[in-house]
Amino acid sequence: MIQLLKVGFNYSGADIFEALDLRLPKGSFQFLTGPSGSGKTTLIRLCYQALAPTSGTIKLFGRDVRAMNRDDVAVIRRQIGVVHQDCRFLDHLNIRDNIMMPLQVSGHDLDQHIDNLIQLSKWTGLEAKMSAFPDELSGGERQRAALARAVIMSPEVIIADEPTGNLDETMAHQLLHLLIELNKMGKTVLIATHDMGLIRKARSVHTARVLRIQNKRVYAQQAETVA
Amino acid sequence: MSAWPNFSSVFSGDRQSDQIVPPSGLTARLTGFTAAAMAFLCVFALALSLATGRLAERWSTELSKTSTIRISAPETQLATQTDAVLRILKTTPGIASARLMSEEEQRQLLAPWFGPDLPLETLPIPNIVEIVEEEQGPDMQGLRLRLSAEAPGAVLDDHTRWRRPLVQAANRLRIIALGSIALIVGALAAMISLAAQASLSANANVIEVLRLVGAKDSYIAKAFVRRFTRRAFIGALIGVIAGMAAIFFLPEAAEEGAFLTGLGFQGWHWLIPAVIPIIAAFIGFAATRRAAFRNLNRTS
Repeated sequence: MIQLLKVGFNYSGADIFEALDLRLPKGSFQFLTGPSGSGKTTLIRLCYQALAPTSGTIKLFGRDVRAMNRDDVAVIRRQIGVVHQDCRFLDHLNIRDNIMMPLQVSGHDLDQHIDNLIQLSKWTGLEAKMSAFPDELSGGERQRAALARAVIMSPEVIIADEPTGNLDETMAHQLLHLLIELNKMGKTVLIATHDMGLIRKARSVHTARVLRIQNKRVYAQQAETVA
Repeated sequence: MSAWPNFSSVFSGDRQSDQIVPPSGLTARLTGFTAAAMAFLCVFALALSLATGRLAERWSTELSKTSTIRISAPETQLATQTDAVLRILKTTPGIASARLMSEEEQRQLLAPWFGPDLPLETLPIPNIVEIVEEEQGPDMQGLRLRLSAEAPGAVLDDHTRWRRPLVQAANRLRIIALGSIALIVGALAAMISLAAQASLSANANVIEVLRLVGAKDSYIAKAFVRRFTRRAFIGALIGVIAGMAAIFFLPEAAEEGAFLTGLGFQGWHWLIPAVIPIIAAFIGFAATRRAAFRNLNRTS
């Protein structure tokens, strides 16, 4: 799905990554962890081409991003659902319009996707919040709404950057449960987090691989399955 | 979808994409106000341009085919020289008609300076002969020679001396008015460009979210371009209506003040200001499109 080969990234003269390799195989469920400032968010942004590498190769769905123009990148981004810690909504639109935004920008007829929206709102427990504005939602509701927006286009890959950073444990586990469900549906999931409790919780119920950023590279820890 | 929004698509309905840019803000009011103010000024500049154009043409055409002969002579010779002048004019090729202005006409001419009750008969007023020329006109040099021989008190004035600077002044005024329109257009483009740039910067988070969910640059640009083009159009429309109303209700003045109060539109010229909102919309479209293009390239 997503492949980074010998990727280097330099920011303001400082090397964040050097010859970094990362593979997100189809249907995998992976955590990305590392100390603060190690570059988790930067790596996430490289994965959906919000940043371009200074060296190396990034392949999205088998296509080298260097051969893509900006429109190609926009189109391929629709196959990658992204959830950020701060959610990033358009605050002047209600939750329904925010969730439908990916469909709207890609030119879909929104009326034909009302059923999807209803199903998603039930799945995320936001049926009663569709007309609310982002500011009126709790942290957990906002994260679930961001997840609904990320999956409305039925993308192949879900990437979440510290999705539980602002949530209490219960809310965090609810969100994790939704992400695991998505993985069970065949979606590829990558979660950047420094919350080891969340990783342990996930490993207790699901097969998960843990990637750790260290010394400007990514190292894989052995996957475990805990029933 | 085309790579970039085209002008006609700006006015076609797309409620959904209109929503993505926050609806209010300083830049919105600034764009509308600027477009209205510039359109208002543009109406006046246009009116001035058209009025001076008419003035120059009138002076040029009306005065170029007329001339006068002023006969100043001792009272005993005045009638003789006047007869001689009229006789010469009758036989001069290129002259359509010539007539001696009556005392009443002379009184009317002098009334603005001396009042209506001027006793002309007590004043040494010269006789004035008004000449209307044919298309080709007479040989002025030859006519002057004949007049000086047979009527030494006659002075031929073909109006060239004062007509030329008046026409030049009117033409210069027209150029200044057209230059003002060009400046207004440039200022409008600059203001809308700045407002669009400010809006794009203020809405950087909106752009980031749209990119996050897979929006192409053309989609993002279109949303901003539509917003600013419409604001420019509506603002300019209001400005034009206000400007035309102001000109329509300008107080009418007597003929003597026509030079000043002739500012305005005549006949089909009233339709010309209707293009101002369209031009403003196009300026808004082009300026915002350029600003969006630069901003999106820079932040990609």
